[in-house]
Amino acid sequence: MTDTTFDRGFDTRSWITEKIFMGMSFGDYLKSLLTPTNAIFALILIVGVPIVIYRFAFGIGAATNLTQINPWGIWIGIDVMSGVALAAGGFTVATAVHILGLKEYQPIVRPALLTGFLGYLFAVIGLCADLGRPWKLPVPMVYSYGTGSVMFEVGWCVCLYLIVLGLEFSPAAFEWLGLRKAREWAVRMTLVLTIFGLCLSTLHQSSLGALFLMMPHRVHPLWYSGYVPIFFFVSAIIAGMSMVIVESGLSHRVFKSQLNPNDHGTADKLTLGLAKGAAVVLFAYFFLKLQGLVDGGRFDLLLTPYGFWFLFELLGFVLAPCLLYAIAVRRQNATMARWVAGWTVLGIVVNRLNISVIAFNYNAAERYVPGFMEIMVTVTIITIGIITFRWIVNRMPVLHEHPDFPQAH
Amino acid sequence: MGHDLITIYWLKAVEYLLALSYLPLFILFWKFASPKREATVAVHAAAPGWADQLAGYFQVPANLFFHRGHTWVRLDGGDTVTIGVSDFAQKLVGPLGRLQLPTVGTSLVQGEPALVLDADGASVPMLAPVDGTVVAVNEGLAASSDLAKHAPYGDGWMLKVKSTKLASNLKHLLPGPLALRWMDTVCESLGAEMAPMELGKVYLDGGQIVDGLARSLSPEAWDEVARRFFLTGDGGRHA
Repeated sequence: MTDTTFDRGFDTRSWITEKIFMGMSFGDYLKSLLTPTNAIFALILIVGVPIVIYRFAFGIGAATNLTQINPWGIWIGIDVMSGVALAAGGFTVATAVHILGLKEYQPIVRPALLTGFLGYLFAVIGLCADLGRPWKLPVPMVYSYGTGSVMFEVGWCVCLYLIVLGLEFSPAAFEWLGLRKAREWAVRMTLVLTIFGLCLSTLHQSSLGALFLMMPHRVHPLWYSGYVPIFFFVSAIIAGMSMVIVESGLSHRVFKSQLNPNDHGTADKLTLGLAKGAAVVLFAYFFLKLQGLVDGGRFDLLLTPYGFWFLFELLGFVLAPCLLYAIAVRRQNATMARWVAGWTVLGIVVNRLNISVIAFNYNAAERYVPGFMEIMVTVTIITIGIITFRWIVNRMPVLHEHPDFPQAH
Repeated sequence: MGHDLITIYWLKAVEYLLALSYLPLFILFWKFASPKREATVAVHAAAPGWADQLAGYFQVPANLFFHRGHTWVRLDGGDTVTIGVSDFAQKLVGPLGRLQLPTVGTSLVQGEPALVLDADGASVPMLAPVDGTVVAVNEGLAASSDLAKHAPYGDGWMLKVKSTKLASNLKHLLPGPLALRWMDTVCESLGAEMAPMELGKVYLDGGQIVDGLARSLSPEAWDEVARRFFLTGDGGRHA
């Protein structure tokens, strides 16, 4: 085989060319950015970024339709509630591999951790947009403890878990930067970080649901239940697994040049394994939701518009994907599993929007409808998240092994 | 709904019934959600140990970019690149009869057939690694196709192409270090084909790797084997 040893002498210019511009000259790199997808992204950012600036310059009232009666909108429902649930793939897959010993899922640990890390990061950014005075965020965490508050727990857990996810993903960054020693230390911490991440996720995923226990009169009785924290935790596992399937399916299309052509069989096998896991958890979740419904005892509300919407969510976004996932696994049809995963992810977003926005304040005199600027801020944050994911995957060993660190993930 | 004892007991009974019915239903669901038949265990599960040895048999220079269809690209400066066929491809196909190369001025599209290897009366197309127009063809190959075999990355180059979308094309190619890892997995697949289910003599038994591996694997349909590796078989086309 031809000698592949490279000159390791440090040269800033070649370092930037290799690490940042992916081996291309600056001109070629800029040319490579001229794609239809980037044009759409640019358009969103051109409209969205000034709106984000406007929100921070003129306040929430000027940029949103939120009021004292309806203080929660899509920034909470989508960016925070849905974002945190969909980012649960990090702890789900890491636990499966490092604690349960399902080593065959090792190739999807890094994409899942990156999705989780960015999901939490942009959930926090979304939260900052929603908080009246985001610069006060550290106060209840380090200065004025509110240990009796669910928000105190959520705040600390999300903060700590964001750090944990960053550390769990750090070996990929260290491999990219060629920092062997730092990478070794980060890899040694894997098991401890995974256990810590599992504990933190269990706490804050359920605590996000526990928020609603403090305002039972505000949530529609069909969605309110004493089991809401459990619903949130269990559905987060479903969301995490489904999101990993969706993300890996999209990555195999978008980043196919980084993948081994023979990896498709492996990807299908892992997809079907995750699909079976999601089917089983959805099955349990469906029965839990039935228990919640029986526990509430408000069957009379099922034949109202809210009741129809509740049944649509329960049957269309819980029972249907549960059965469709099972059929996909039974037929060993990974493509079908990917479509079902997309539907399930949508279902989780619908669920979080239902409980925090649509069925929230259902009996209030005024109804909340998101404004254009709110929607654009959410779209902008998601777009920046996707761009960040792509930037990292294009450079760091996420979907493939780093040549200097074979068998690293 | 009221909260009198009868109502509460009735609801509790439904809850217990739900919990109890969940358990047997879960068993049925688990069975339903299992594959109709267990997926065939891939033979190459045992490959990694000796796949590295195979990988070392094929040259993968670090300064080239590889297409997954086993063609390579060398940057000549500006928008011009040199294109050739990998060492793996040469050794898979074996002695070549002749090469069908496009003429100067032909337009190539990344991921579409660009040239054809002829041997033993069969033809195996190979994919273009970049978009562009052919500006030169290696005339030396007309005199001796062995040149491509003995120096696949040197004098055995095949085409010079003025690329129209070089920067974006390069994103879909594997640079040398990544190509090395890719070659490992290609060799795992090759090794799997070399260790058939009904075992006769297999690679693991030792011996010398022959030139024209595809012909050894399948004398009647060696070109099909080659097309599968070069992504020009049925359903194997990827940009």
